[in-house]
Amino acid sequence: MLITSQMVDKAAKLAHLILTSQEQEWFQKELQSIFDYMQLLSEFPGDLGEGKSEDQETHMRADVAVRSSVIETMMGQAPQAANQMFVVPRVVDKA
Amino acid sequence: MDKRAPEASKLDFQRSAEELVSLVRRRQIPVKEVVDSYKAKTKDLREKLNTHVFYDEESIDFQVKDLEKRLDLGHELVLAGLPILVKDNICTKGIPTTASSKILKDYRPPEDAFVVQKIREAGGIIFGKANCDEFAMGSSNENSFFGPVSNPWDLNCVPGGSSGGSAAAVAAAMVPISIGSDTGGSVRQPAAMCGVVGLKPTYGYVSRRGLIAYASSLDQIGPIGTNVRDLALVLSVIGEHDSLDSTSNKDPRPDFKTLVGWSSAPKKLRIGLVDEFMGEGISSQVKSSMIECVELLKGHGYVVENVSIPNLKYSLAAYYIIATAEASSNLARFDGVRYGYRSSSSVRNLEQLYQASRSEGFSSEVKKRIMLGTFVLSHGYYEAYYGKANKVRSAISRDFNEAFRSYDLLIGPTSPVTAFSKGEKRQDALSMYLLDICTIAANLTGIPSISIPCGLDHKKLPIGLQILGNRFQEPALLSLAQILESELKFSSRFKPSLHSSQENKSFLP
Repeated sequence: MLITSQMVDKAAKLAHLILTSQEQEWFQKELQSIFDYMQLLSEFPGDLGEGKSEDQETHMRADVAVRSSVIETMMGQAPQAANQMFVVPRVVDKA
Repeated sequence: MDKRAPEASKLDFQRSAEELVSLVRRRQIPVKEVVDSYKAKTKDLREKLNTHVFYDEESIDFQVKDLEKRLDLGHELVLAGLPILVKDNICTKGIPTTASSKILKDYRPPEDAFVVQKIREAGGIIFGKANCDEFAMGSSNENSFFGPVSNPWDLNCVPGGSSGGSAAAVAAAMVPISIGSDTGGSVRQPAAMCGVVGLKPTYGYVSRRGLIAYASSLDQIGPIGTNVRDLALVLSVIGEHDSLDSTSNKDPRPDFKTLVGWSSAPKKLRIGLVDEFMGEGISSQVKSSMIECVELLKGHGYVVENVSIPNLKYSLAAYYIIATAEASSNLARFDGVRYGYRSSSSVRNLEQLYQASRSEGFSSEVKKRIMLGTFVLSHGYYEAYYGKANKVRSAISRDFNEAFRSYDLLIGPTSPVTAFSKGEKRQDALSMYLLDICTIAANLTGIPSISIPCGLDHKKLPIGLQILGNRFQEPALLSLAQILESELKFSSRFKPSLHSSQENKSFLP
């Protein structure tokens, strides 16, 4: 598969990243070499089932609300906070 | 009354963690003496090797005082007085935990990771935070916001990665034990390159709570030390069910005696040498060293035969799809809003804040993996890449299950090459990723694996041998590792030079 600059742009946009033109060129080259290697997977017979090892399971626990004692500590780590809320740039434009 | 044993009068860094704990518990050596010795060593070497991203003697002294009180009260503490360095992607309450990334530069977690809780409860001393590849993404410890780590065997060389600081610090005797994380070999590969022992337990054996996630279905925390018994000792403490990790196994774990129980191990283990681990890309010296180990085992009456894991040839491609797909999701949380780095550039909306903070906070390697993962999960490519990678993963698991019907344990090299010069592979992503070729299978399948040092190459750099076992077969894995360790006597024959290759080296003997 040929990795184009448009594909790199799309992946960067979806990943919330901005790339300089130099970075874009570099990532295109790097991703191309990785995808060239991944072509190996086309040799893999596709009818060999799906999923992870049957030995692994996910344990569920009761969905019970637990009071957290770390809220103030966490809010203290916020880059910008006020009144126990995270401050962010305006989300909704003025009408 | 002075309870000191005559042999305990001087700490010589040759003692195992197990011996140190025993001396401390019997009050034959003061905790302070143990800790001061390692503090002095750390002070000497920390900057030279760049092993630490955080080190605070005041916090260590505080822990020592607390421990002394507990010992005075008669507490039985399995890791009493043991200095333990923790990889910087594992949360430590109130102590910076950055995953060696700019985006978490000033982050101080509100809670300890489960393993850190267990270490503290058992009397271990948290001896700082170890440098690593950013978000554990790397095989050379060159992708750290805090700079590269040097290999104690040759300061010009990388220590391996991503737990490079953890492995280098143990190799340089700055701590007897460190804790790393292993997503594709990040405990075992640096252990191999630094001539120490590194264990990746079965997935679900050790809780991942408090480990900053890279790829949640592959990540596993494991110890690094100078000998197998010490790793078993630490594993007996950190390996416990944790109800707050949904993937933590609920079954009881073997105790220390069972983990190292020679008598309970099968007398004649059947061992398979994995063909695919001895193929293209493996250095001739690494291969020779493996063959010597095979002969050694055969000489002691063990059955060692070649075994093929046919789908292993697809493992690296599948691994980098699954790992980066999970990373793209796990690292989406770093957005400059709730914690970590926020860009100070002028932005007009929330999306621009995310973009600016992430673009300035992540390194190129991390961005590359996030984009790769984003791409393979995107519409039109999901089935061809992510879907197929999961099918490969299943097929490899079945291959291993089949192999374990005939063999108790499998062996092969840990790393295809020994430590290489800094910068040598940085410009070639694929050659760097290929360093994981022998280790990723254990992560894809969740099986346990250990790396032990088995010799030196012509540059006097360590070679690692890897042993793989079936799920939760840690006792058998550790038994064979002990057998080989006692035959090879690596740690008593060789010591790192702590010089660069241009300088004179002094090896023992």
